[in-house]
Amino acid sequence: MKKPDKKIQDNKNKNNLPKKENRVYRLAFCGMILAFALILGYVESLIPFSFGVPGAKLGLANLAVVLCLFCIGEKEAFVISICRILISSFLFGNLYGLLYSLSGGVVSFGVMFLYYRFGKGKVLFTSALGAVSHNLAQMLVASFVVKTFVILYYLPLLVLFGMVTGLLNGMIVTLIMPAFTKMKWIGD
Amino acid sequence: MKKNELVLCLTILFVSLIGCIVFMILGNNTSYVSVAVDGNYDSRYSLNHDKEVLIKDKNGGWNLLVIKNGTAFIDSANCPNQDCVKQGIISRNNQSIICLPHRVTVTITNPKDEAVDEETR
Repeated sequence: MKKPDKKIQDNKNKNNLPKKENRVYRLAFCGMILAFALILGYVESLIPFSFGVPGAKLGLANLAVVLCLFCIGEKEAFVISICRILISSFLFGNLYGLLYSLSGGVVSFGVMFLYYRFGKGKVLFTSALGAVSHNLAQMLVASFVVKTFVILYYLPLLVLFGMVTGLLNGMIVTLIMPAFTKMKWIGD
Repeated sequence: MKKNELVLCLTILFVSLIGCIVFMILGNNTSYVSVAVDGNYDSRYSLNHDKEVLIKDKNGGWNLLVIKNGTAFIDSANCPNQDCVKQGIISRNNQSIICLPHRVTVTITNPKDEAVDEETR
């Protein structure tokens, strides 16, 4: 299958990613990314990551959301973010933590989207912002539910952690993104 | 353009690192272990006396708080996710362990911050 000589110049296709019209392909690709996010969530649950901060996680699954945001689009990334939180908490976690994860996920996606759309939109910083805002939102919701603000003493540690893990995730995304742009999309 | 983000990242990292160091330094003197259930103060124990406390909440949930060798940790609990058990050991001021399902908070507090002297159980 020959790659077409002229690429259609819509704003998403600079890197030879599946075109907007090719819905089925994009849908399948999103499904793949969702599976990727779930696997990352599973791997993350295997790694014992306790740093003494209540609610600190590696946030590997956010990697898939960032990847989708930059490769496919904002709407799909949002859906994947919500779905992976719901599914992974049914599969690997308990439903109780769903409230916190979901609120963290929504806020985190909102922040990432704002930066992607209205800010410079660099991968590393998007990922870092997502991680930090996820932690902060989760912590705030937890504070309200438990009716205590003691956990706020952990704020600097959480921000530090969020930034470090976010930057690491962002680096991984920048490493894998070229692989997607080099693929040949069936039907293009 | 990339440089601006880098500077911002480093600044945030640096500031939060300073915050962490301040948090670590803030006191390691004789402290209390305060337990709060559902946002309300429940009881307080001295960090220096070894003790095992069973914290109960209204719905039948329990957490076993162990105070030993100047540290405190939750040894076991009947919450579904066991986050409180995994949170490990706390020993410094302002550190806390939280059990979300039972809404229990165990904090190390500074005696000087306590406004009213309450009796320990």
